[in-house]
Amino acid sequence: MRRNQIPSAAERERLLAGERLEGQRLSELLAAATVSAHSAEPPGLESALAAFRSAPAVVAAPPARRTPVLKSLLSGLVATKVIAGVAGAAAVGGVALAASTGHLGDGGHSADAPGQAIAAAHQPGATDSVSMSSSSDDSSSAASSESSSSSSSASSTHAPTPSLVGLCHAWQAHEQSQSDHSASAAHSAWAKSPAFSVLVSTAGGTDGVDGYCAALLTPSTSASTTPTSVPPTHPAHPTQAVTTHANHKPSAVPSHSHPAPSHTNHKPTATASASATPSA
Amino acid sequence: MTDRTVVAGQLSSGTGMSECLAAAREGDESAFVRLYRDVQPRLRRYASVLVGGQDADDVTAEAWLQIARDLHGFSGDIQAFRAWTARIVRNRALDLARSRSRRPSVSIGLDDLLDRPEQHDAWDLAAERMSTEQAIALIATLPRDQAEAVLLRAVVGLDPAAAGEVLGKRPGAVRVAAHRGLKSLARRLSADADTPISDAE
Repeated sequence: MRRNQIPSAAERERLLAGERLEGQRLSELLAAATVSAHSAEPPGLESALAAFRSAPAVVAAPPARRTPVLKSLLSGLVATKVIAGVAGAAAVGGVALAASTGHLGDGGHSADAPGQAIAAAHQPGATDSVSMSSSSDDSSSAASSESSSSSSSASSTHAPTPSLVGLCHAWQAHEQSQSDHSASAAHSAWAKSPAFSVLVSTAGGTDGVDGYCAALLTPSTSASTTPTSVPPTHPAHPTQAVTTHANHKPSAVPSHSHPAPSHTNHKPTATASASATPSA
Repeated sequence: MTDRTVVAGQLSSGTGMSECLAAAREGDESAFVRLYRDVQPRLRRYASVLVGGQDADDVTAEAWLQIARDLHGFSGDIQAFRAWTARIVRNRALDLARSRSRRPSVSIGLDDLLDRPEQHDAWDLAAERMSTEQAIALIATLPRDQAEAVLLRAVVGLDPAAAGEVLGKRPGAVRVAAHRGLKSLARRLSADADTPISDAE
């Protein structure tokens, strides 16, 4: 019945333009190819929406944005770190500590702090406990390199960091949607995406992202009522972000080092004051 | 929300979608969701021709991160938006190809690297009721330039010029590829109707 139906050029053009031609098998094929989605909820919607929510609401020049986001995030974190150092949690995060204490002119020397315990408590991903302990010794050298960058960038504390929160939401949503895939395989492809490069580098590597995001997205009871839009108020992300900034590539990630979570909550006040004007 | 009611319908031609696009650019979330629901199925199908169904979700999900991030700076109508998003999907697919390549410095063609969808059961169709997956798989059996041209035009909904931009080709080349693809599909479908297919390798 339907044989040898090679549509004419005109017919093909109509088919390509979306028309349907009665009795053509090719038309049926294209109709099947363009039938609207069956699922009421496309699987990727959640992560796309998360990214959408985190995107700036005003028109911004896309090419110039990536670096400033990271940079201003880091600057906010460094500022946070300085205050944290003053507050007595001086040993938080090796190089970062070195930076802040150095920046404070040695006054915040951390000899009194039970450094590693607190530091470890502050970073759920714990990508850096090794470099932390070692770098607290050579704080002077680290401070010299770090303090310059921190002082230069600390002036701009209006960080549009919601993008990191959005990326974390997207990451987690993707992870959930990938339950049938091997998580690691999914992640490795996922992590190479340019869209995630900021997140991955901020978290100190692909392996650190889960921990980083878990910390970032944990609701902070005292600091903020809108955690999704004001991420810098969370206590956990200074440590790792600054670690990344210092460019310690932690090759081995001791994910077992999550001791003493009791300290995680003592900082939001200092943090909130450090990033007082995050959104414009 | 409205998706449920249009299960048997076709992807929309874009009416109303330009308004949606404008609202989404201003930050309207529900507009973004509508936009997503309009465009994502197209992109997903295009991606599955490029990288196979397994990776199409990843590729499009990554693409959407970029789309959402850069949407506010986008200017153009829904046609241009579809073309832009298709290009992003294509680039992500190429990224995936490169990440799987052992020779990252060598110039890579998608044909060399990407898994193509399985072919055999795609042809084993009663043809009266063909699923979307089967239809896409069938189109994916075409040479890649033809498959892409057909997908971009008939499924993503681009005109030859926009499709050409996505592919980095002249509109005429897209046109030729799309027509060749359709002719080839038509031939195979009619041959299919004459003789029952027994999964020839």
